[in-house]
This record gives sequence, structure tokens and C-alpha cells, in this order.
Amino acid sequence: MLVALMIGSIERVLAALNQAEVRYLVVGGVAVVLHGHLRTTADLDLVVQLEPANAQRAVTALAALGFRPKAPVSLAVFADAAERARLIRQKGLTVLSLWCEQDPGFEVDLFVAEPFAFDAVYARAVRVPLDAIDATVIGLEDLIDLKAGAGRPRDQEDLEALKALRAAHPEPEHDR
Amino acid sequence: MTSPPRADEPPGESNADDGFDRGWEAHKRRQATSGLALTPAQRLRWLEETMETLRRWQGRARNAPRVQPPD
Repeated sequence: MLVALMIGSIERVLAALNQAEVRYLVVGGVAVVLHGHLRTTADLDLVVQLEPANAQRAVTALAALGFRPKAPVSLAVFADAAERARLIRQKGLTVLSLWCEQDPGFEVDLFVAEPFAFDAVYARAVRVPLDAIDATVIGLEDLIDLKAGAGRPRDQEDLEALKALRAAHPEPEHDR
Repeated sequence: MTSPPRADEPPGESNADDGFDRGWEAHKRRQATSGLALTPAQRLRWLEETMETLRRWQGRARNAPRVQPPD
């Protein structure tokens, strides 16, 4: 069936990454919703720490679910720093978009470069209970910083909404 | 009506002849057209199912515990 059961797919992907002990962060539209701003999204944006063993665990877990890149490359390139650098330089790649036959309407986007200091942002991330599993999600302040740096119209809309949420529900001082 | 993509090919359109999304704008354009493979009824169903769950999840990060508790 072409219509994707996207949400089930989100939890299926995150469960596999959790099981494989992959260090990842949910960013993008799903993170925006989890922080309180309801809007639709058609993909799952993930920042996976690009330390080689971690990236390889992510590749193995996602490959086991049947995911592969939409672009004509192997999923293995994600765990290869030299190949990622080449694709960024030669193809202008920003994220590696993945799909699977089981759910062709669902897309997972993996950042091919870490857009922030991963360890610091990961330490401030939150574990969010979904329906069946917990997701590791970028913290609100770091999501605001990420959106502010992106500068696209959709990011600006998210940014305004997230700032309004922060103003309405300020985090404790120690959370920064 | 647009035919849905075969199960063995990725849905949507690629932005470049070589199949890579060159930068964020190309990525956004490809994503924006990926739903064209769906019928209007399928798009509506997708939207309803997606929004139902996103509404359920909305705001769950607000009081979620940090990965690493602050010192």
C-alpha cells in the first residue's frame, strides 16, 4: 500500500537505532512537534553522530530494516568519512535520504555532516516517550539555534513558534 | 491519474540528472513533489493519519528527562 503508515515507521526506525545503541538526535519537523508546535512533516530528520563505529551501527540497523538511499549510492557511504566528504563537495549533498520498499512514502534523512557539536547537544537532549519507545530528541534551545542557522522559510516559521513556546514555558536555568 | 511508483523504485522526482539532491532547495523541491504519486484520497488519508499521531505526540518533549542530567 502506497499510503505510508508514517508514524509506525518513525517508531520502527528509532526502535532499531535504540536497539543498536546508536547515538542519534531527532531534529526537524518531528522534533518541532514534540516540543509543542503542531505542524505536518513528511520525513524523519536525524543527526547521527559520525564517529565511525556509531555511523556503522546506524547503517547496519537501517539496512536491516530495508532502507537504502534514494540517490544512486550504497548506504555504506554514510559510514565512510571520505565518501561523505566527496558527496558533500561534488554533489552538494546535505542529507542522505533513505526509503524502503515496505513503506515507500516514508523518508529518513540523515545529515551527512554534524550541524553542531554533537556531544554537547546530545548531553542536553531529552528522552521523549512516544507510543512504544523513547526517542532521543534535540533540546528546545539547541533546536532553536539549529533553526536560526538554517534560515529557510519553513525554519523561520518553526523558529517563531518555538520562541513563542519558550516564552510561554521557560525552561529552568540549569537546562542551558 | 499518476501511476504510483513501483515498489522497487524510490518515489518522487530527483532534482538532478544524477539522482542527487543538490543542497537544501533541491531537497525541498523533491520532497514537495513526492506526494504527486498519491491520489487525492490517499493524500488525505496520509494527512489524517499523520496529524492524528502528531497531535498525540505534540509537546511530549516539554517535560521529558534530559539524556545527561545537569550538574
